[in-house]
Amino acid sequence: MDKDKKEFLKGTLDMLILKIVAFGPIHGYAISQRMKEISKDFFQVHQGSLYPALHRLEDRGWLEPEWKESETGREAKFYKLTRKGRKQLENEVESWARMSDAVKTILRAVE
Amino acid sequence: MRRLRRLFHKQTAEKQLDAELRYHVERQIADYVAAGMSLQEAGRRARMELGGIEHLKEESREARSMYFVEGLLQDLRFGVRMLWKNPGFTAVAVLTLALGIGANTAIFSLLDAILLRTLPVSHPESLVVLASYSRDGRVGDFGYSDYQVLRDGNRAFSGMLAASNQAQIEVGIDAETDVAIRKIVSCDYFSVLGVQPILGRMFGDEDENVPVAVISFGYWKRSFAGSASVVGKQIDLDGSAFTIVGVASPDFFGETVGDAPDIWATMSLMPASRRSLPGYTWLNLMGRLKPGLRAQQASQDLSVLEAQIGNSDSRGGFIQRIAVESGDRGGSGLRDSFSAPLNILMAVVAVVLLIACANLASLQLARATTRQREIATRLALGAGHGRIVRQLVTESVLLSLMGGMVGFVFSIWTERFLLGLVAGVGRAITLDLHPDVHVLGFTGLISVATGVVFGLAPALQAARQSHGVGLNPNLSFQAGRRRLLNLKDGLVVMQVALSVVLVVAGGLLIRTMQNLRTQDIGFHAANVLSVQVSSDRGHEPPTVSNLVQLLQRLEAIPGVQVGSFSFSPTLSGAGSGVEGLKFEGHPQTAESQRAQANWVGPDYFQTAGIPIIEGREFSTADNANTQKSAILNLTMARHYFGDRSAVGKRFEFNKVQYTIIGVAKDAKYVDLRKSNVPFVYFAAMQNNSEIHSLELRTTSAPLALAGAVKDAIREVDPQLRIREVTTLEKRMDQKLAKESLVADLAGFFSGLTLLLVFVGIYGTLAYMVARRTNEIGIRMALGARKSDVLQLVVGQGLALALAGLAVGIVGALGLTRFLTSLLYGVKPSDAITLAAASVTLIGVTLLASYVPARRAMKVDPMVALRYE
Repeated sequence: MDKDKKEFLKGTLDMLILKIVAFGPIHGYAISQRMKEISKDFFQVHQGSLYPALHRLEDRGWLEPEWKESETGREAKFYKLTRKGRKQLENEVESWARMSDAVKTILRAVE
Repeated sequence: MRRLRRLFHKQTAEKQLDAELRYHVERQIADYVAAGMSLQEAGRRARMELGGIEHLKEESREARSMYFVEGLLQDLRFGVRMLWKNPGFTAVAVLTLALGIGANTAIFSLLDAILLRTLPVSHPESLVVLASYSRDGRVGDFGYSDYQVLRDGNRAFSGMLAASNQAQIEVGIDAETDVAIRKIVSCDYFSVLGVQPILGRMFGDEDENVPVAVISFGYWKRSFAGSASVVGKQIDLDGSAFTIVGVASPDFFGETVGDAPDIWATMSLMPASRRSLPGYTWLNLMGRLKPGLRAQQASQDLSVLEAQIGNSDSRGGFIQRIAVESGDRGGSGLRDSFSAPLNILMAVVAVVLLIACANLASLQLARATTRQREIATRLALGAGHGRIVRQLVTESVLLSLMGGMVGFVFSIWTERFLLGLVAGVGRAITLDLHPDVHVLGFTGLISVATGVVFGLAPALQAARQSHGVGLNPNLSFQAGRRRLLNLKDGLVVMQVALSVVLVVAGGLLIRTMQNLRTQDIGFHAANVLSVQVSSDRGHEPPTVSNLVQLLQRLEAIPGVQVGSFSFSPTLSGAGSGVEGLKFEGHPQTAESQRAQANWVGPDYFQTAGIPIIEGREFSTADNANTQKSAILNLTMARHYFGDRSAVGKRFEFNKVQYTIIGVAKDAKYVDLRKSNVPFVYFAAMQNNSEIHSLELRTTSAPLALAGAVKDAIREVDPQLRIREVTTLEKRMDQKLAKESLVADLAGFFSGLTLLLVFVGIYGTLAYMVARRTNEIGIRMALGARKSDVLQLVVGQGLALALAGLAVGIVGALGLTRFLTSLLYGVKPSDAITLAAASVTLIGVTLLASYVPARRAMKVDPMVALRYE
């Protein structure tokens, strides 16, 4: 995969993760399940990319880890959106919207 | 903070990562099983979907920013363990690196102290050095009246100081007499430099002609036990009483690098009658630029005053031009004479280090081959390529840092030795060589750079080659063999090439030294004692009148053959030029009226051993009552009279007619590298000239007579002060000290590189023999003779050496021209030196091939084949 595309997908993946976590604390497996559902319709997210991405987002201070009991009664690592993370999500959503508007305009003009 | 905390709780972080991934897999399996899959199938699917767990872990770790440091610590731990496990390799590597880095550090700290460090004064950057130029080139210093003109006339400086060179004097403290180093300075010396006293005061404007002195911190501790009562104390400097007014701060050594005076005395130490003698330039000038001005502007400002200086000089403008040079590092003859040799030595030791790097790189390559399995295992366990390369480079850097530390210790030892060599150049030299931030930084930097240089290529190779080799033991040696070996061969070729350049350079410098030593200097330096004298009060040279009697007394000492005296001591480096020599029938241009000159006593030529080719030399009969006579050297006689005899001819100098009474052989008086300099000798006794030096030809070791000579001088004339008692041979050595320092060091480093090359070639061939033992066994089983095997090994070595030689000779031809300024009597492209270097290297190669070749010849085909 060429580098630009990889970076682009990485950014998209980060945004999706932030969006999913934004609904409330959630652990890695649950995120992967949500992801599976979404990606069925749009694009493939390799499960392998999920954990490095989570650690990256945590390292940047957008996600905050918390170990607590999961729905099966076992302890699991939950991720929670930080204030910084929420801000980041807003920014990304905004710029995504702006970009998709721009693309739409162009496509319409071409029609 | 959080990241840091995680760094220290790495273990917890690892466990958590484990737990997180385990949780994922288990949940996935549970879900699949719930959906009706078999447990086995569910496990397989779950793991497959996630990808390689170890790989995933590694990627997750890498996502963290502190991961780099975490990894580095891990690499370091691992590196230390690896090096600890191979003590032999580690010792050889550290020693090699220590030699290379130590040599670099030693030369660099010398270079730093002499060329780079700024003066320990306030705002050194706004200081400039004034340099004077005569028609013949750089003079450097100024007369006292020049100083006055420049100090009072300039508009560019906020202050200007004058300082003499340092010299020895006799100091009387209470009843004791001792010698110390003094410097005569203008009263604004300390204020211009901005140096503060730690005790008492410095000179003030009113002190110019007041007999006061400031002493150095070291001298204060040494001779006055650091007593506070030293301020106001009277001491005797060469017969006159001076009052100590202050002690300079501890780190201040003066304005000239290499000097370390004990006493700074005001101008009153130099009698007013001598201060401004025409053409007597004895002061170094420095100025402090007014804020915002540049050296360039100061230069323009001073150009107005150049004419004034020229006119005030009775010799018709001795100083023609003044240059303004940056003075933040002070003035230093040391810097002028050592900057070229030091830069060249720096290049030499850099090449030595490069060769050491090449050695280490081949060692690492050989090791990488044996470590292929370890590396392959780590790759299989999920380590990335970058990770492996980093690990190997970390090991190399670790090695080179260890080498750097040992090398630093080496350099501290060798510095004392180096300083001794530099000091041999003829005067006391004191350099601040204690390792400072510069030197430590330099060592650290080259250590790390060295590690990366010799570690990176082998590491990249190893990581690439090991990939896909797998854990198959039979494959491990085969894969990628070609590439590994090519790099290894390349390293040997590079080593040989670099060492050829060094050996050629070393050879040229050694030949220069030989040429300078064995050339015909025109006189016999052996068995001549040279005594420098001056009258009481230190600065007044005696005149001829009282010396004739002294000579008679000296010649009566058993062992003294003949003696004489002269104005400029032979080989002292001091020379005098005369202008305005008028020969009939010759153009009256400045050029043709100039010559070097000396004023000498009776029997001077016999004493110095300069043959008289025609006519006769001066005798006691050539005194004030007879017609004025002169002796020309051959070059000068030829210049004016061609093939005709010069004896009996006359010329005019300073409105006086001189008759030429003899022609002497050319003698290299002042500069051993300059020949065919016109030289005229005048009779000291006819001109009542000043005398600085007595010379005595002896029948035995001259210095053994020094005591008797000193006693005789004191007996005849107690007013005479004896300055320096030495021999002409010693002067000769001092004159050649720089050349011999450079030649010795270049020779030493050439030897060192040859040793490194030897080790390099030996290692490569020994490795080749070990690796090809099977092949050699098969060849022998098939009927190859021992000589064929010998040829195989030695041939390989020679092939590499010849390739290196070819590259090296081209390199040497290109690079040795930078040596031109240091060479004498030998061209940079000297064929003999090139040939000798080539032969030496081929010799080293053959020697290095010997042991591996013998081992190869001893291969028993049966054993070798069974081994397979």
